[in-house]
Amino acid sequence: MKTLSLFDKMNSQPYYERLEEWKKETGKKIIGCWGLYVPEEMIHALDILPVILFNGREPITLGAQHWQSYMCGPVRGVTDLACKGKLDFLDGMVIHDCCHEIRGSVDIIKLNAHNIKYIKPIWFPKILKQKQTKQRLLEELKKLKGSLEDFWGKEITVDALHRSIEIYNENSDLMAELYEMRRRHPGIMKAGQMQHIILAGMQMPKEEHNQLLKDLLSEIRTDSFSEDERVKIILSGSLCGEMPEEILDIIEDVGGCVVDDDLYVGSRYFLTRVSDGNDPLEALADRYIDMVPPCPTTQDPSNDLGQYLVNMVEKSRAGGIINIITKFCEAHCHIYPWVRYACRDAGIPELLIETEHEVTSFDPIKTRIQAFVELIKGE
Amino acid sequence: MEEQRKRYNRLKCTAQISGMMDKFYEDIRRAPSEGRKVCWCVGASPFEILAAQDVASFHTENQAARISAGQEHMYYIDKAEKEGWPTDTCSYTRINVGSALYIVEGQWREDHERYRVPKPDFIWAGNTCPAMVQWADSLRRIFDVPMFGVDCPFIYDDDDETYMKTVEYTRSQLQDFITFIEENTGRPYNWDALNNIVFGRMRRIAEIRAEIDELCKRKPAIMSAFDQMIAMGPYNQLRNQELVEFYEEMLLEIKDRVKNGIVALPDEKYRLMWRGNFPWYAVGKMSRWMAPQDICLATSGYGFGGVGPHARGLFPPDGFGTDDDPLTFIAWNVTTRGYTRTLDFKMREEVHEYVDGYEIDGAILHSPRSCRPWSMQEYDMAKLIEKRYGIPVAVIEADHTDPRYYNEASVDLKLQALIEIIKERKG
Ligand code: SF4
Ligand code: SF4
Repeated sequence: MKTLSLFDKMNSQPYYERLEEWKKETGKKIIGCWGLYVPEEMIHALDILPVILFNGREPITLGAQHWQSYMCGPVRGVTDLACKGKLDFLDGMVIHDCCHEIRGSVDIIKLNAHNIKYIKPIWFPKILKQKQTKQRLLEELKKLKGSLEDFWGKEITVDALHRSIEIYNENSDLMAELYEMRRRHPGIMKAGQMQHIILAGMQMPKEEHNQLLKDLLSEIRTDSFSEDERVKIILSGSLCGEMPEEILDIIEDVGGCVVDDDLYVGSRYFLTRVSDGNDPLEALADRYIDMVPPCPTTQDPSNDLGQYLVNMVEKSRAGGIINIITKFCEAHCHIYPWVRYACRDAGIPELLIETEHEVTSFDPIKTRIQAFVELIKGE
Repeated sequence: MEEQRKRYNRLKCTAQISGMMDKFYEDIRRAPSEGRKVCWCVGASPFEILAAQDVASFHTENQAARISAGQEHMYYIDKAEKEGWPTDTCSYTRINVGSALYIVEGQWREDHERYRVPKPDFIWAGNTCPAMVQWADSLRRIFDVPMFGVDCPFIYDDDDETYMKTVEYTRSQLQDFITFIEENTGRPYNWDALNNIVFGRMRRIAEIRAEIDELCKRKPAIMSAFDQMIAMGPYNQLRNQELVEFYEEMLLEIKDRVKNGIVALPDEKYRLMWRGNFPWYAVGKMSRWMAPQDICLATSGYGFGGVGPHARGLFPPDGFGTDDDPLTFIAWNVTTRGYTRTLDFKMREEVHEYVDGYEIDGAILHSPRSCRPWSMQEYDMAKLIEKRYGIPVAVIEADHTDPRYYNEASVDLKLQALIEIIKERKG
């Protein structure tokens, strides 16, 4: 599959290098989005490329002067890249403080990464179903819009915003289609490759990503896939960072396959479409309040992550769930026990893996995943 | 040998605190049998609002700190961890959730009666640290009772307009909390009682606090930061007349000290400030290490007295004039916490006042492993303090309640190094 190898190739280069080159070639502007749920459409409507920032894969050196070792890898890593000047290609950053660590990173990045000229932190309500939530969220969105318009001296028109929402929605639909295919035929690609596809989409113009997805979808011939004998697994979590590809490979090496996911670099990113009506800002607010995957960083008793994952298992007839906690991600720590209880009550095998930026060996993880896959097989 | 016996002169009134707190919790334990509702409060909590409606309420953080001070934390931490709460969850949460799990299972240890609290009828969360609403949400599920949360925005734009808007937003949520309480207690809200507490007791305590604040700046220090932190305990939860009486007595004792020339440490040579919450299990060790070397821990942002503008922020002397609306005052109180403020704000309104106002020679920044609101930005803050004020800073990594993360050797080393630098500079 031609398109699939294109995505793989994109992933072989550190993202900041790739984006820097893209910028030189196109002469366009880039804004880094840091923290969950930055309304990218608003940036897109300004004809600026919004990209999701990651901790990258290199050792954290300067970041260690600003963060204790017991902060999550994404926070230490993004800070590290910013302090090293590797994010200097950014024309700005919009930071949504989905957790306290990200809040803290705002001042640190401002103090130490002088070449990023526009750094805009935003606060969104964490309690989603309150009388005041929507009003307050709308105010925050308006503030962000005003700030972007002021800095770039350009209006974000209603029409432009509608159009951006449409493009992002199309992306969401195409990704959903791809996921549906994978649910039926998990063999269509490796889990690592699925991650490459989503990573690419998080960091390239959505119009181009949409085209690539269409190409890919037409290239995938599902009739060549017979019934998959491997143990079907669902992955959940890995907040604010990509999964170490080694772990995705391990799952497949020991006889498992990823049939669906609730990963940050996964369905969590694209599942919530925007129901665009007359007022695009309101639509963006609703998207956050009514997000499909329940989020560990928000509170909403009507949308329970445990139940959501149990449903996902049933829908894809998976054998078990592997929960991936980004080590030191407190938000996820608070919600994890409830996912565990839900799995236990539904009789679904569940495994917890904590991932760190610094990994010396994947052997212990391999042993655990292997045992987990064997356990499901034995059932 | 003479030196070894040097100790801090503790404020006498603080000896009552443990008894006061025992009594406070006994009262809470009695509530169900007296037909009073019980509310567990997580995070920034408006105890005024609850006390006025005669709801027995306590701070879950405080219950955890009490258990930790009694060295019984591991019994609860183990329970929570066994049930799935990862070790990186806030240690206060793990202790409190552990206790909640024992309660629903009906497995309370008889010899832990003093830590026992009744099942909640409802839960409060003041979400200044995002962990708080999640913690409260776990309690809601464990006990299957209603929960009310107030979302507290992080104030990035440090201007008055943003600030006042935030206060308004908090206030409107508090208004809904009143309705929630009415529903859950089954009677109309007692506004008279609230006005009495806010404009009577809390106003008086604010005045006392401002006065103590000023006196705390004296050199040598009139009371140590250890006493300041311990004295904060009752204020954090009690709202009764006894609370006012206690602080009146504290003020008298401090004034008496001034008159008779009594200080915290007679040979005080070096003055340190503490920032962050406190590893309660290490209070004794630390004070026994400092006093013999004539080191006075003179101020802290975590105590009653000696907290400068932080205290003024919490109790704006003219803030009481906010149209005499008690909810605005409480919203102000809840919103002012440093948890939701920028580094710039903290440097300006907190650090500057301590270092400057208290003539500090060095600073200790506590970086609690499982509490991000306190540990974040501390390295940068340390650098800024060193640069702006030319005083050395030690960042010590420990935890507020999980002693497994308190590395005594490393803490000693860092503190020793801090003192060496100060001695070298001061002679
Ligand atoms: S992984 Fe968790 S702790 Fe880290 S930035 Fe994301 S939400 Fe915050
Ligand atoms: S993490 Fe810190 S601020 Fe947050 S609830 Fe725990 S002790 Fe409190």
